[in-house]
Amino acid sequence: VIATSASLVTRSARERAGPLRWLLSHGTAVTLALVVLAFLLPFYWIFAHSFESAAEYARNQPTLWPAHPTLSNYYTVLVRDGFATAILNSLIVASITTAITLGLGSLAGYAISRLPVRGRGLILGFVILAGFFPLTAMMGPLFDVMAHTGLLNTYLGVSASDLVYTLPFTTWLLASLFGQLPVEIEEAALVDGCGRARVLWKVVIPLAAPALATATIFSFILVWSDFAFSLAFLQTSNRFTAPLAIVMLGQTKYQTFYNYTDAAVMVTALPILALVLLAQRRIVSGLTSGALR
Amino acid sequence: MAVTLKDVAARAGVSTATVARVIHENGYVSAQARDRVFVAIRESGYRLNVVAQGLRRQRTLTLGHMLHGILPNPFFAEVAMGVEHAAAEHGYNVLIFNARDDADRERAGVETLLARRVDGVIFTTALRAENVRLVLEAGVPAVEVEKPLCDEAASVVVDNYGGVYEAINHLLELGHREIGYPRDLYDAAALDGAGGWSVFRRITLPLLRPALLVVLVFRTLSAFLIFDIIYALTGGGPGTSTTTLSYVDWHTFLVNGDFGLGGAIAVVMVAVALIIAAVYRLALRPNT
Repeated sequence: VIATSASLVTRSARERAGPLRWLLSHGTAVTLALVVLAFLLPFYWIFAHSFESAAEYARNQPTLWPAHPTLSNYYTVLVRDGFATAILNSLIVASITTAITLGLGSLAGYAISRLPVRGRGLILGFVILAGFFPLTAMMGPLFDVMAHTGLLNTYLGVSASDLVYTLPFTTWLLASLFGQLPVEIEEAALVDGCGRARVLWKVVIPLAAPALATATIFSFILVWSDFAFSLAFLQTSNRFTAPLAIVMLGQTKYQTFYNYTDAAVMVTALPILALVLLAQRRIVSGLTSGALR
Repeated sequence: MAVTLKDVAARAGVSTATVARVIHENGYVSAQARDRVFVAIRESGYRLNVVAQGLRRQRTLTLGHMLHGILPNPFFAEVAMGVEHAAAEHGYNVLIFNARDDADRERAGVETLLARRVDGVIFTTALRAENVRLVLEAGVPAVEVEKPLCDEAASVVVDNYGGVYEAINHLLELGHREIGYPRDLYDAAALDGAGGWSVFRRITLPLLRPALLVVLVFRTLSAFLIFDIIYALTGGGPGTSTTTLSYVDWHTFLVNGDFGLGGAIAVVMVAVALIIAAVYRLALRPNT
């Protein structure tokens, strides 16, 4: 049936190709185009106006594309306003968090998906619940802890608190992705006298490389766009991460010069945009493989 | 010279009509006469002449079966077995012809089967409607299996859509919530003429239910707990018109330094978040 139905469907679809069907398929394309446009328009606006000179911005007559595009905003923001430091801070925080997340997340994910753990469903449910926990609800307690451990205004402090939401997501993602790997390969390794730790390191990690890549990218993006914890735990501007610096950039002025903000947003968004575009297929396949197989 | 019915009749000492009645098992024959006929048939080595019988009755008791090919798809082998089994129950034999996905070869096969005066032709599945029509025009009945190409011919088609629908409902009733949906499921629905909307409503949407739940909870909670946009754009103002729970909590904790009140607000926030998740879980529970 399977072999015949494939050829059948193409035929029956062709036979029923009326004007309604044509409209329906093209209606989908039109709707999709509108949705994409709605998503891209704000980003285009930021992109275009990051090249707008301060003088043109002050005239307060926004155009679709600046009359005299200039890179001066980027220079001002990165050099004068020290936004380069903010980007560096973000990189450090995101790297520390992602490294710890991957280490702990893969261990936890492997344990939940493979070892005979009692109440596995309960644990996974709790992990997801922890991921939903309101960030602002944790600010006070975490602030208290950091004030007593000297972690306030440090990279490690923000990184540790960012773990609160990267770790549940990564553990959950890796547990479900590890669960799909063929268990036979691991069993073979165990039978041949390989220990659990070595199985994880030599068999599971190489097999799960795409899953780990997905987890890395997601964790990195989550931390990169974190605002709440950076605001709560970073106190001096030389430690500010990029999202925090963007907001402060606007607020320190008598009048908010959004042309500078736009340039800062572009600098912050571009690495992530590049990362997502490069790894898009991997991210999607890593996320959906759980649902499809 | 082959043994004929007359030889058997002479050997058994009965009429040819009696022998025929014994062979075809219809009409009364005494027990002794039947025994004598059986003995005579065994001793003489008589065999029914089907060709002669066919000529006389204008029926060959033979069906033609056009297949794509018995191999490699086991589907055709199973249909061939089924056809032969059903035909045998009615005293028919089956001639199988493998068209091997070639409409011209199918045409040649149809001619061959018609030349052999088959009593009917089964197409599993026909490659060209014209070939089926050819059979019908020769006054021979034709049946199409699985793929009705020719409107005039009778057809036997599996209810793929209904089957799939029932299969999913069955899995849902068994408590399964994560059901994979290979493309075949949609192919089957399309095959049976299900429109885009009904496929979406009755197959896609029920299957997406768990994913929808996750997305809904995620998006509602993040909107409910929104903080950074409020902080950056309005600061909770003007007045308190855009002050959200998250913003109040941040302000209580880190601006006012009131950890007791902040903790209380945090507990309320978590409770509301849990209630939202529970409401969605309830609302999206599959109706079994």
